[in-house]
Amino acid sequence: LTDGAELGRRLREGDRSAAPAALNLIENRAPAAREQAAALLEEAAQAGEPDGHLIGVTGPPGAGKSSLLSALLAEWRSRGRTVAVLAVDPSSKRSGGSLLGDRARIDHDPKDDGVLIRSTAAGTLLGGLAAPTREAALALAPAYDVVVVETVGVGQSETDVAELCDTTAVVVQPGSGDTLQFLKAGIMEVPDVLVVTKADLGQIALRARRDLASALRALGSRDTPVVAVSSLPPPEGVDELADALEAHRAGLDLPAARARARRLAALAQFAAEHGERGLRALGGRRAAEQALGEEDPAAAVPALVAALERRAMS
Amino acid sequence: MDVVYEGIRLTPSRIAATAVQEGVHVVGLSILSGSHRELIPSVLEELRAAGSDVPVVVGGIIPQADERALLEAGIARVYTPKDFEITRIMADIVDLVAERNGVTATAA
Repeated sequence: LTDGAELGRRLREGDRSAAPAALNLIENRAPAAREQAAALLEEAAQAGEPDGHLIGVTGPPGAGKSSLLSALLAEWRSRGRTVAVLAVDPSSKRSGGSLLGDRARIDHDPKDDGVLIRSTAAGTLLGGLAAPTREAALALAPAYDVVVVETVGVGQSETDVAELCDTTAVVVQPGSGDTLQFLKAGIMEVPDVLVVTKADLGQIALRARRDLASALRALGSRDTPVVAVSSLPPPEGVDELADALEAHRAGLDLPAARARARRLAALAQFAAEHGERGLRALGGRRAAEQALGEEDPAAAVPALVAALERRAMS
Repeated sequence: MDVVYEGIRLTPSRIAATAVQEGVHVVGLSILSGSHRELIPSVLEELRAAGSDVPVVVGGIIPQADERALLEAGIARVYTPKDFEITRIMADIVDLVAERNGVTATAA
């Protein structure tokens, strides 16, 4: 079996060639592989908070996420950033399998080793993030300047992505009111950056941008940037979007945000493995979150899961 | 089983890069153009050069004489229009992956 600690060390040192094997180990559900994956994550997190910017990109099907990512990849590469994209597609409830087609729609140079695109199945969680996706993002963060988690979502399913990522961008296409309605109704949390795609449509796109900006003002989120982009060549607004994403991250208390992300990831993993019964043994979700708050803020996810398991047993 | 679909008309180097990045257990190629004698060995070459030893299976319009040559070149399976039992092909691929990874295939 692969040596998890060794892969973790290579990622920590920025060796991107370790990424595919690391992701395979993380996705492997065999008990021996789980142990190695835990060693990998511990090792990758050794040197403190990794520098990689974790960015969630989410939005309804057809909003233009893949085209946007193609344009963003080119923009980031021109700025000298290395980029990993975790493209999450749904799994079939019936077979448990999945057909992952996102990669085919994201334009990139296959010979460029500064770009990694990895398709991942959502598992049986509807709209949520499977534990391996969270682990994958955390494992890649030391080795890539930008780690994108791309998911399909409208409404509440984005919260998993927002928990994991430093910056979350919700992608909206003009002429569709879902996001606006969800925002106004308070069903959806306000994202860090809103992106209106298909700006080449002109008036309709401008109106969508205006409507979203006014909905945000009504919610008191005046500072949330709303960026209009056109991903068709020549791309428009993509540099502005890249700047907005960076500006958001620059304003974050990164260690606190990452510590929170790890705690929530640990909780999600504990809940996936032990279910509601496990959560009840901890005194409920809120009590579990409090218990995690008492742990070392720098602790890696597997250590936090182990702490919850010890607590549930006692 | 998760299937990563990459689309059509891809270069051998793109196929190899994708297989490595996605960490796949098997590569399936579909080819109907008649250029299988040139393209398929070059996919295999690119894969091995990229450090991947995953099995490659091929499906398409492939004459029997070429089938032998492809198998000798290291292709794990060749499926032609004579192989129309799709579930048998799927089971065959599952068995191939299981065998290469030293495990036994069981239904989920």
